[in-house]
Amino acid sequence: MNKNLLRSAGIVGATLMTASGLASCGGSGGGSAAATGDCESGLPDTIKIVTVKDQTGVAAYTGTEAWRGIQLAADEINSGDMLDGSKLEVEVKDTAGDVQTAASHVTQAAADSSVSAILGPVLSDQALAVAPIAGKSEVPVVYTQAGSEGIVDEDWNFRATPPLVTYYPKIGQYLEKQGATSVNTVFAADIPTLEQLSHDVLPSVGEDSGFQVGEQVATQSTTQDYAGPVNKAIADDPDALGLLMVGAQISSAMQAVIQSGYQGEVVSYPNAAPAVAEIGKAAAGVTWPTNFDSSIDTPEVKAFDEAYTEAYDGTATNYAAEGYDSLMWVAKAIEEEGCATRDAIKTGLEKVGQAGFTGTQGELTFEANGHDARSDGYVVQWDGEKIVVLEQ
Amino acid sequence: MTQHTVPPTVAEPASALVLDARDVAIHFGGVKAVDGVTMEIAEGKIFGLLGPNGSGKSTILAGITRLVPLKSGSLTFDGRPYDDVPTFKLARWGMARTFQTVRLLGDLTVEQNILLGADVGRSSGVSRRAAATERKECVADVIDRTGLAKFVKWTPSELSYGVQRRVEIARAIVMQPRLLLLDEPVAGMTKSEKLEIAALLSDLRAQGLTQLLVEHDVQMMVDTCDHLYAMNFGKLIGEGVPADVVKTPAVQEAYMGKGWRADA
Amino acid sequence: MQELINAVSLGCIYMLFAMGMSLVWGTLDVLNFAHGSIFMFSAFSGFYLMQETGNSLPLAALLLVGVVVGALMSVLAYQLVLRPILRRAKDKDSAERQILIGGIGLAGIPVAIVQIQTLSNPFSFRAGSFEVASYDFLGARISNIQIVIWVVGVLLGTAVVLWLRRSRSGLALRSIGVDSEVASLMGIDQGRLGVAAMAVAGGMAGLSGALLCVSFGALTAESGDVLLLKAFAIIILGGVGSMLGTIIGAFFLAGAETLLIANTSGTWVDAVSFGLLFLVLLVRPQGILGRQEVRRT
Ligand SMILES: Nc1ncnc2c1ncn2[C@@H]1O[C@H](COP(=O)(O)OP(=O)(O)OP(=O)(O)O)[C@@H](O)[C@H]1O
Ligand SMILES: [Mg+2]
Repeated sequence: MNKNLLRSAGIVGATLMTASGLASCGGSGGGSAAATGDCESGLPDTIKIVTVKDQTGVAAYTGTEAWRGIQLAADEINSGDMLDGSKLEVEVKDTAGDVQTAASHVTQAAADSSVSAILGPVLSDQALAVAPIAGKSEVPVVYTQAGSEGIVDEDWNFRATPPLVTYYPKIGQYLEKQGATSVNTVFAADIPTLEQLSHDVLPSVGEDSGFQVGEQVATQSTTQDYAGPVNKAIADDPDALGLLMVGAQISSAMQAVIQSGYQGEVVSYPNAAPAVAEIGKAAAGVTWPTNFDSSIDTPEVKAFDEAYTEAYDGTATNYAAEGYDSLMWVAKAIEEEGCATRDAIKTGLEKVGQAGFTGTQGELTFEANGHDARSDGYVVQWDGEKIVVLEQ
Repeated sequence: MTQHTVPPTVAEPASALVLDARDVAIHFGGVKAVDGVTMEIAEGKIFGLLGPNGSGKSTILAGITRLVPLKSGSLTFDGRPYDDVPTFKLARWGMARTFQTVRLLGDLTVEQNILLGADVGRSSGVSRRAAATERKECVADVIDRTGLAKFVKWTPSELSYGVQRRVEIARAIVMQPRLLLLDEPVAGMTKSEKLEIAALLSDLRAQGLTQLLVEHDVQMMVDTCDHLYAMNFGKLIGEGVPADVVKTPAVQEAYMGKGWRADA
Repeated sequence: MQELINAVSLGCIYMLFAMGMSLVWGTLDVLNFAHGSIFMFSAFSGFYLMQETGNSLPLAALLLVGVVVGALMSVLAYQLVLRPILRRAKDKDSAERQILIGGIGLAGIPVAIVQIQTLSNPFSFRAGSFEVASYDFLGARISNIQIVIWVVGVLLGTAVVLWLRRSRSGLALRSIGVDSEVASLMGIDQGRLGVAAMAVAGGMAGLSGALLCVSFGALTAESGDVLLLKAFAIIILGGVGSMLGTIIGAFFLAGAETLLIANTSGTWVDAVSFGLLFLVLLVRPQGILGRQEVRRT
């Protein structure tokens, strides 16, 4: 009846099944990386990296964009001969929005000893199912997106996208400048990250930036009509309104704000980008912190955006940038160790991570012993026609 | 008033068959409900169909009105074979029936139920308004003749069983049918109600309406019908002049053996 | 006041969507689970045309596209899948079961097409030749699109109720719902009327899809699913086949949801439609205005 509900129930079920299935079949996943050889002989001619990301289904957009970025990175690495004559060979496996498919692709790739590393799924539920497989089979997996907690807790797992909650505090600078003292939110209560933004992150940012979070109106990812929630959130006319929901809902919520005649600041998060573009002029002034935007003025972003536009038309997306950074991280790890075995890549990823590097997402630092990316982020604003960078 | 109830006269010989059902068989899985029955319903008469419970009377009516498929046999209406014609078209050709159990539409008033019958869509060629006027007159006339005037705004559940049956009959005759099939129209009625209905049917016959009447009431059948069929176990066991047919041993046995109805 | 305006707008959308579903459920015995995806795909067609024409379609054209696409899809679904199922099914129960499965299967096709086309991103009518604007109205805000929704809702709601109550074809359609054999004996062509009813149902779904897409800003491939569930609750609440019941159910649910959002944490909203569904099924299975199972004896 309700496919979303059914699907999430299925996802939970599948996650559990995958986890228990793994526990029972022990470490037979084949952790040996024989074909990648040892480090004595230097780098092999080709280094195989498998990408396991949604190309169809609910997260098709995120997954295909990431894959675009990965291909751009591979081209740049290979044509610039970054790995001393050794070529990266990348291929993609579609998880089609399905946890079990993701798990089975990763299991297969892990069993294939010619595969040096895996670029893991974008959805947290898939990543959570894949993470223990990576640990058991001792193959490095680098995720983009997949913001849930617990994914990089397991050794052999790495994440190239700074979690939203880590750079979201950047919005405090903007709100302080606007002189906002009261902020209300409308948020999707069943999306843990967004719930955390509303309940924990914004209030604690407010302590430093001089605003208080008042009314927080909970909605669900099935909510369609936002007139009511928005109405409630603006009832006491706050200085700023936070809109924290996913997909079409962010458009609906914004539409409801526009129809309500609310005049204060509207802040959101990176998912707002397509929504404001759709709405156009009426959405002018919506502001959010982000880890990437194609208009950010750094050499890395400029070069990447150019390559992206050349290859695919349009401007580069954050998902593509993250994909690009994830493969660059792997390449830097191989370069660092001079070796492309799984062990070496893992060590390399940690070393590069601990040192940090500058990617398309700006200066990346890493926590969790070099496993988990962090960035300061930027604050960007929709001016009615395009996104402009406010805080760099 | 009469011109509404009598279908436009067709230039056909007096002996023309309105309905010709030939070797009709209807089976439900292993049950041979009707098994090779032939009926020739001639114009302007009341035909009777008599038989004990479960002998296949209602089933053959269902077959004739194309509500159940035939296993074999053929059907012809006014000279037109109609083995593949859907029920609604048959209704438009002029075949009407009532059911053994009252099947009025509970959501609608008596008047709306009857109006439904008046809407068979056969008044093509006339302007919409003329058709509407004609329909209204026709409905009023039928309501009058069936004595339903005071019940028009009632819904079926508010009516006594006898009155409900009358509404069913009214709904069928308002269609100005050429052939009227009646499945136990007086079952459960009081004696006087029965007589009224019998008089109504005779009256309709006088106006030329051909009828096939299924009934358990032997006396009424003998009094009302011009020709009688008797069946048992899906087969005909007799046919002819009603008074003679009911006296044949086969019919006597079938009826007496299988419970002559106390109310008959 | 603002709550009232919002509730009425939401109720109109629910009503337009649920009425068509109730209509064919009550009359043709078609519980059409593809109704939600017809709703979604009609809006998507508008979106697609908007893109092809460089965002130049006026609102009226978008609504028209919604109606036409919705009606067409609904009729096609009926003629190609649902009606053959009804015709072939052995009895009423197996017909209902197969219709359900058929509908769910059908529903998947447009959803998959849109998922592929949009990569599961939301789609919306880019503000082209119309702008959503809002006005002060008795101390609250009402937007131009809300006004359109009200007008369309009132007109169509009344039209459908009157059609079923007063017109010959409406009467005929209702009779099919009660007793299809008697209906056919009254000369009623169920095939043609069925197509007409499906067209009306689909057209209304398409219209609500287009209206919702404008009013809510965007839809996704899965948007129809949520609405389908709510319509289900509304119809059960009002009584299957009762148009007035469906209208009452739609406004009742919209009102309840709006009140709930205003006064509690919004996470309870979906629980309301589920809760109502259970409550009604337990206490008054035939719904507020539904008839008891009179049907055939
Ligand atoms: N739809 C059906 N499926 C299976 N069997 C049926 C069906 N309809 C009728 N029958 C069977 O066919 C036989 C004839 O039934 P029918 O109703 O025609 O009898 P009848 O002569 O009308 O009896 P009554 O006087 O009781 O009305 C019976 O044995 C009945 O059980
Ligand atoms: Mg019978």
